[in-house]
Amino acid sequence: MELLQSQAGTNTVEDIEKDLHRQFPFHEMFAQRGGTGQQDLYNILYAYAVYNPKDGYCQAHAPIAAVLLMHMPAEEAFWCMVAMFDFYIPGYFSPGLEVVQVDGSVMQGLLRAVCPIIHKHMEKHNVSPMLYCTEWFMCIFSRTLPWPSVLRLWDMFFCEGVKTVFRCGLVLLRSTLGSSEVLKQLPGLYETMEKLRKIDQKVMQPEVLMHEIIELKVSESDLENEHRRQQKQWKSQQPASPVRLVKRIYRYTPTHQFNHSNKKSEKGSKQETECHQHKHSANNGADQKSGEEKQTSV
Amino acid sequence: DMGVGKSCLLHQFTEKKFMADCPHTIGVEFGTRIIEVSGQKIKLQIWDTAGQERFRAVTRSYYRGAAGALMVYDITRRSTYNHLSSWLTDARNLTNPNTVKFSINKYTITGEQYRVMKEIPAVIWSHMVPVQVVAELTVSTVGNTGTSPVPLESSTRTAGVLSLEDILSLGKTDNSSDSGEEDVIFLIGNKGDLDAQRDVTYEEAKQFADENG
Repeated sequence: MELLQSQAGTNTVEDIEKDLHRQFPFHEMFAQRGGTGQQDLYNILYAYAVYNPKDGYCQAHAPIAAVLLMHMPAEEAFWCMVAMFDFYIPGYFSPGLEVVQVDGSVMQGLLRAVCPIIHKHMEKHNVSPMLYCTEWFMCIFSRTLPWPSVLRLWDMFFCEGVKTVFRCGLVLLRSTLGSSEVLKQLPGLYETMEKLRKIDQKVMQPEVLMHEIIELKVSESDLENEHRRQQKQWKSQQPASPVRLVKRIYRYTPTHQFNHSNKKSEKGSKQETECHQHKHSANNGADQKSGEEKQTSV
Repeated sequence: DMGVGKSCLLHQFTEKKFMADCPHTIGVEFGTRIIEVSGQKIKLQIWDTAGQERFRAVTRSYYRGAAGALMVYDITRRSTYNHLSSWLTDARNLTNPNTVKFSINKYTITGEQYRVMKEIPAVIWSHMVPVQVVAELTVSTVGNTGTSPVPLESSTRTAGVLSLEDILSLGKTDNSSDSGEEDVIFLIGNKGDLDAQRDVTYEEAKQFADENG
């Protein structure tokens, strides 16, 4: 790839190399130091830092690239990552993490509607959403959920966009903190955070989690409205902030234009292996995703 | 800075186990350990922040209310040492200046100290928290593209020692918060086992600490 021949920002190589052996070290693909898995990972991360020099390398790129690499060859994984970052979660990895912070407030706003007692508790103890959401959002739960759930959630994410991430977060919050008995036992910020660090495995099993996510009553327009509200608020608080209103993909349709791709790949990912169990992605997961994976002549 | 071993250090402290391939922190992590100070049990809560610059936007707001801080650098990478002053500035600016007086680096724990401490009989070891670091003698193969570090040697051994006494004094300041409140910042030169690749000397670090408090 041409991108690999180009020069990335200072320290990029060093920074990436420090993280290579820390991505899913128990997965056979990445277990070996300097093995092909780690080399591919390096290539993707480096290429992205060159491709998007404004953002450069962000440590949260690594787990995402690693998950993609487990399902497709390096070049496709790279373009899939580009599509994710451009259309699904635009602005997430900017140097000031503004979009993630706005999304944290969106989460807080949705929490007020979905589960007011948790919202009240969080406000009372000053638990900022950034304390628990940062990793959830920026890694699309790949470092939080058990693996089968990661795959299912990612399938939903590719089909339905970022709202799945919010829904998943809300479900986890609700099932972990959603009763006044539990909240009574959490006298402060620290205890609350400790509780959220140890979410019950049962809650995170795909059968339970996916069902809850689908059932959760948070619609696209709920999310959009809250998003608009929080962006406005962010703007008024930090007028100099570079955040601009972004349109995010909620549902893939073939009409989306990808301006930096020459042709689309016919190859789907292997990630749909579990799709058949899932009503949202049952029939169209493969088609939708293949549209995102672009091949170019680089 | 990223990759200096903050999470590894925390894991070592709370779990008393070395964690190889410690995942990098995205956002904030937490660790708790109960320690005893003059017969009183104190719950020490340690916040472990992400090292990459951009995460400072997120982690900064949590400096407030801290009783102390540990600043960690990697003795084999001078850049991590050079950045200490900017982390220090952050720490100073973001904590409440009216109630907090900083005294920095009561203890600089480096490989040198470890070597001294290694002479201590095993009994006393139980009162210490050994900081283990994997010896990663890595070389980058030619060029800066497409190559990954190749491990020459990978072994786990005790590298530095973070004595419980150090932490106790941290706990003490927490305890005596009503009179003469004083926050402590520790400076830790991590990866003491990679002494051969040392890039920052103990004396330098000590000087930095003395100059700043």
